[in-house]
Amino acid sequence: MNGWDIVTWSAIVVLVAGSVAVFVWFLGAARELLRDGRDEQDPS
Amino acid sequence: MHAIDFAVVGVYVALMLGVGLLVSSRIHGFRDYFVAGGRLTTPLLVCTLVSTYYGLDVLFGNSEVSYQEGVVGFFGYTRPYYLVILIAALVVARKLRDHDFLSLPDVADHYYGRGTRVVVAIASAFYSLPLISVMGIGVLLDVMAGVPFPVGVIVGAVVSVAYTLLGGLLADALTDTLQFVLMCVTLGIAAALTLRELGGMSGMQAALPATYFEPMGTYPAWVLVVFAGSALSALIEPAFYQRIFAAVSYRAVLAALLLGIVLWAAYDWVATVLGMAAAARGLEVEPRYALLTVVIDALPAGLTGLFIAGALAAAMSTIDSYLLIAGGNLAYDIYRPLFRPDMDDASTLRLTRWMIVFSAAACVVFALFFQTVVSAWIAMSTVLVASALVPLLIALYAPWEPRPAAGLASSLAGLGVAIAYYALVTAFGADDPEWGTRIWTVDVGGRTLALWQDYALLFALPASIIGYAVGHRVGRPRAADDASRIGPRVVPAEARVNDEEIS
Repeated sequence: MNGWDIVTWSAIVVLVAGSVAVFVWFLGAARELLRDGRDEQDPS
Repeated sequence: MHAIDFAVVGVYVALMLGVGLLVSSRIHGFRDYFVAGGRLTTPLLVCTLVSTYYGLDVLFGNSEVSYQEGVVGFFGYTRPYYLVILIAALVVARKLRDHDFLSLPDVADHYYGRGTRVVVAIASAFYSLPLISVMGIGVLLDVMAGVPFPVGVIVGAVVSVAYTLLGGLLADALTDTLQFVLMCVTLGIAAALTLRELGGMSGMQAALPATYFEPMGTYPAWVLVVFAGSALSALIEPAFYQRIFAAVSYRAVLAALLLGIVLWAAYDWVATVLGMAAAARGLEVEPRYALLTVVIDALPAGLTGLFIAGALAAAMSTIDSYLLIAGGNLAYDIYRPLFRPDMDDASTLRLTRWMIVFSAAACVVFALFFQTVVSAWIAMSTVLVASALVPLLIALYAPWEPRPAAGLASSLAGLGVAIAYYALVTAFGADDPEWGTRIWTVDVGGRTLALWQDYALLFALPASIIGYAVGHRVGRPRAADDASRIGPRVVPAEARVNDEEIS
């Protein structure tokens, strides 16, 4: 495995793992965002 | 493609439209529609920035270059963007959050007045026409289902208009997230499978000429300068500005951009490798089709559909975002201040939606004009950089008081020279099939100059600088009590705390 291989496999890992991690983070934030939106519309 | 692939694509597109419909019921005015009421948090910003800014243009544009030339697709074409985005994150974003802006032309108006606002809005609207993503859908439908490219372009525009009218930025940001993860994961899997089949990068080195692994490739030096110059558009990127204004805090913007740079770099490198893989496999395709062809070959049934769905959604999401900006530029930044300053919120929102339809029609015309994705991207970046970069950066950072004449002369000179250059190369140049662009060959003092269509920025940017200097010399400072100025923003309490924490 040469330098190009190491860079390429690292990029693949960062791309897949990084995007999944951000998506999981987003799921929590989206729940909060949509709940805030509901609260704004229905103050009761 | 198998039936299961078509089913996956159908379900995915329906899901996207459903999310758009659900969220569109929360839109109560232009601010909700255009900047999501300023409620975007870090993870949402990461997803929407990464996926919107990197649509099919980057995927196909980058792989188009690497299919023909190798790793220069990464080092010459995309790498300059990371540096510029870093500068934008650390320097420009913080400054912009001090005011109550909604759009890039708002910034121009604040410093130079209405004239510069209109010129910057015209450039921003042209830049924001998502013609590359519309071209991308044309490419997708051609490769997937054999639909002729012009028909695919029109279908892409019609679908995207329907989608864009449904929701504003919040709907867009939410739908961005699913396509973001799908696009990244399927691209990563496709790259892993392709690399395994080709024996890794070592196998590709054996199959490709050594020049494919030279970081600066065999492009003429001026083309690399133009690539780097077009990266300056990141400093005045309308979608980037829109998301800065839509963020809950500066810290959210900063974190999103820093994370984004890491993901963008990984995405670019993988796209570069896939373009090269198409060349290593000896595929004889149009350069812009290279990545898609090699990915469809590599992925098994089901995953192919997922990748196509992700690519389609990436295009739709980018189209959604940029049509929104183009429509907003035409309605909010040009029509309203020039013709109906007292236009109410509901009318602005309605006119914006009509302008979105108009922008989509303009997209189709331009999408059929350019030969390559990269040429189209360079042209759009050139128009924006030439007309907005110099006046806006000087206004934000120069110690002297901005003068309206300087902003107007700078933006008009940059825009005018860019348009004139393209007109001249179109009229007197000839198509070059080897480089996939138009070149005008002229004799100057016994020397032959090859003027590429893509060199417009080399003339337009200096013209903008000269225009600024002349305008600054002859113009007068703007009156301090000018009522049309956009004042300091009313910062929400949470954002104020967050912005102060990191300063």
